[in-house]
Amino acid sequence: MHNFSLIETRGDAGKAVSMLLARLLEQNMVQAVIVPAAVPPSVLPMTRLLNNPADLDQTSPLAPVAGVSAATQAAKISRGPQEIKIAAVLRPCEIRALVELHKLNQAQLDNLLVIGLECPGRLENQDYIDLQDQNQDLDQRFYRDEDLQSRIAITCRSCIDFLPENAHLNICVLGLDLDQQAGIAWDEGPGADAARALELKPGQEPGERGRAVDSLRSQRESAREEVMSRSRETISSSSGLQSMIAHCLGCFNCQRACPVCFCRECVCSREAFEQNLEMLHTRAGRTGGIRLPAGMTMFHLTRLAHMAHACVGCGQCSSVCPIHIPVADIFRTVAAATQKELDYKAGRSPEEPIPHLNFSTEGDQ
Amino acid sequence: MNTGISRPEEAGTDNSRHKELDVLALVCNWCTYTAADLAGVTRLHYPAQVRLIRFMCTGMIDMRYILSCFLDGADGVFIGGCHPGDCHYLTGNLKARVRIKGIRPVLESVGIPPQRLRLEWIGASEGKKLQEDLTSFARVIEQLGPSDYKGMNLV
Ligand code: SF4
Ligand code: SF4
Ligand code: FES
Repeated sequence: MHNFSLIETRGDAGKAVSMLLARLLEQNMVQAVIVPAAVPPSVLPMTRLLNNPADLDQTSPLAPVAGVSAATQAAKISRGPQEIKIAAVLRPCEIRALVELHKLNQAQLDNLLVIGLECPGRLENQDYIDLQDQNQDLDQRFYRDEDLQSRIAITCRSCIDFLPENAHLNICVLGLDLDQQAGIAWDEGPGADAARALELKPGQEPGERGRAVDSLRSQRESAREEVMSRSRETISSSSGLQSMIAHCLGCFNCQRACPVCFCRECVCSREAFEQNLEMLHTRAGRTGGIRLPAGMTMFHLTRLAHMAHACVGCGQCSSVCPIHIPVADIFRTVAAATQKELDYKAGRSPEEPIPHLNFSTEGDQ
Repeated sequence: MNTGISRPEEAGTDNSRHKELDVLALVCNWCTYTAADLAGVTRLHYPAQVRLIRFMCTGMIDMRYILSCFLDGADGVFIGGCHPGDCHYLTGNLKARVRIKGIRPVLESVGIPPQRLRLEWIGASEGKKLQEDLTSFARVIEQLGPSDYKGMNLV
């Protein structure tokens, strides 16, 4: 992003950002905002739609948690009346998922002002709730407390795509003392219009930011290499893959939580594909009995085959697995191979065509 | 299923070494299957471990069918469709092609080498090509040996 501006936070960066969002409403740049907010008795910030500037002070735009991926809701409401412009505060992986959903005709991007959040990682929902209990100012404290940062979700610990892409405006937190200042960055277009409405003056980006980004990246890259090579190794044999998914309960949580798995009804849950007694009976004889529900390997491989090109690495599938199967590790590993082969990166660009929808007559088989 | 081709075992060919390997050929009704008919009429043999399954078009071969084949113990999956431009439903074969490209890295990641899946365009008049392609594919599978998923008791 070309323009950068520092905003004063006075010890509460979340509040400072909320005030900017309120101003966007006041200036009628947008008519609604979606942003995480925890409204009592809830302490867990979840995506909330607001349209009254006065209500913005209850929001938590910087909360290090994502109850579910906000991409699903952002996509849904973006399909509404196009006159209603909406500012959406989203994490980098949520924006990537939104871009994928847009290419699948599940989201409109024209009426959204996408505000991307630099993401040092998110805490698991339960961890956030527990830590909230002990830390009144968790959202603010998280950004200066390395101990808290080390507790982020397992997938986030090896995420290298922590800078938002394809947003109009970025909220910058890395390499800054959030107790003093946060950063806003933008490019020409809708982002610049919003920056003007917010009366942001472009200034110098602190050099410390580049260093902070680089050091986080290198730390994450080695973590990623470690995770990926371990799971590459494990899933590369039928027995290894089995050992990873052996305890799958067949609850379909992973599929439902996945922001890019957009089908209303998953093909895996369709009756047409359900095994009938006759099939199970034959198979049971061959394999020394058969565990029910059957077909969990088929379920995971189907989801991989259908969606590996679109996996944005958000980790939601791992977060919701009741039996702690590292679903996202399997997905990210296969996604890396698939996206490399297809010369595609999920969420990279709204213009990049989905490879599976590109039926050219060129090339061989 | 009656494939219209005399199976080598009926024709008395020695196929003992192929016995334990299974190759499934998912073929389009309009081209490859017709080519198989033609091959049958001209008494061209294809390897015994190959079993043909007829589809109305390769475009209806969802990735799930390919996965089912492998998870149910196939050692190789061959897909035969119309040449580009000749698909009865215009672009079914192109859809098949892009799906196969997409599923290969998935298969490879989970221990199914991409050589175990092959796509060929075989026109209705190409009975000879059908025989050659199936034979060379069966040979590749023979070299690879049984698949890692064969006989597995999968969850
Ligand atoms: S498969 Fe898992 S990590 Fe990938 S996009 Fe879906 S929920 Fe996120
Ligand atoms: S969330 Fe876990 S247990 Fe449930 S279907 Fe997915 S992998 Fe299986
Ligand atoms: S009709 Fe033969 S591949 Fe489509």
